[in-house]
Amino acid sequence: MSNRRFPFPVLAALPLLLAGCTETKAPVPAVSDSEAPSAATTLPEEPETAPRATAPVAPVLQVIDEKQYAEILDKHRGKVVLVDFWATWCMECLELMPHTVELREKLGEQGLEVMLISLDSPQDRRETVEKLLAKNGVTFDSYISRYGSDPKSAEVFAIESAALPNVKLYDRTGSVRKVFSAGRMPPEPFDAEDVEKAVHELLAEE
Amino acid sequence: MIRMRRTLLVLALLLSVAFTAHAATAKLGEKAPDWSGIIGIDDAKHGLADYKKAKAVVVVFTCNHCPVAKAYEDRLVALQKDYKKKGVQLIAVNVNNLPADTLEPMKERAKEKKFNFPYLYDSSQQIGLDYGATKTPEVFLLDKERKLVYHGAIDDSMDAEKAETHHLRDALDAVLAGKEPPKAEVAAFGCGIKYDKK
Repeated sequence: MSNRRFPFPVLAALPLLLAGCTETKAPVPAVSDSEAPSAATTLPEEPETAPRATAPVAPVLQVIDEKQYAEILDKHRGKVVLVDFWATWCMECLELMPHTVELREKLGEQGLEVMLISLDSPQDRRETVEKLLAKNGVTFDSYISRYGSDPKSAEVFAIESAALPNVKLYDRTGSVRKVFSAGRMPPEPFDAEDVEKAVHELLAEE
Repeated sequence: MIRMRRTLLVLALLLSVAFTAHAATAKLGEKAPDWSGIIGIDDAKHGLADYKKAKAVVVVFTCNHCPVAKAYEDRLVALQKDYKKKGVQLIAVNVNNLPADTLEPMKERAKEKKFNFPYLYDSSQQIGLDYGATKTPEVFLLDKERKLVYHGAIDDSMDAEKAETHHLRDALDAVLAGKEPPKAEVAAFGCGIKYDKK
């Protein structure tokens, strides 16, 4: 069993390593098509860094590819990062999502960063994605794969067997330490408690 | 830089190991695992040997609860209809034990969608473990000798109207013509099968 599990963290860390290798740090585009362009045009003077806390702003759903994924992970270096890959068509993912949100609320201050990445088509499913995020209390920014539910998403984000849900945990040094994947044979099926336990273990590390 | 190259080499090796280790338990080109005594929505027990006459057998892991699997039901019915005369037998198998995925709801769903193929329920999940099924839907195509000749996707889009390459049909056409499928394995997203922790 262990020889099956071992290589996958490495696989997922590959984009990270490669990104570190090339030294090309393209800025992560802050623009998202979910931000109302009309609002932006009426306030041209406002700097981009203006605090958003004053008015409730809908969380941003940013389209990302594998390169941006690596860059965002890079930015979270020093924190434990939980990446929850989900899709609107994955019931088990939707059951898991409230737990992911709760972990962020509960353990954010202890250094847990949470990334929710939807593997739905940004063209066709954005609205449904946003609705489900709102329904599950996701008030923070999250992501959607530019490849949607195409197998390309499985390839670049190392979703084994292209089965969802898939949860990856990165330690404070940015290494993948744990991958929970649906479809695994016993004794590896997982539930929300297993994820929480693993998060606690990683947070306890220096 | 040399160190980096060496790291990448090691990574490449690990990756190849990873992909080999994760190949389905049923192996391409080899005889597919046999099975028997699995209950169907007709309340009868089914086994692979019951379909001896079939020139090809399509074992589809599917279930009731998964929207992706549901999106493919009509396509499976159409496929069985189109290939019946050619001697193809499609067999749908559910191994999930979620409330929606038990025998009674399966019977209802099959009736509603007019399934024209057996729909079996293996609550022990053994057939899923034997084949190495990981998600729904997931297809295993067995040829006349019951060797696994194609594994993976039904086509290239969850949305039937957007499907352009019909991998399973292409594989079937090839196998029935005594040829190798254009692709032996095609990945597609699905709902992970929930195996019991045991």
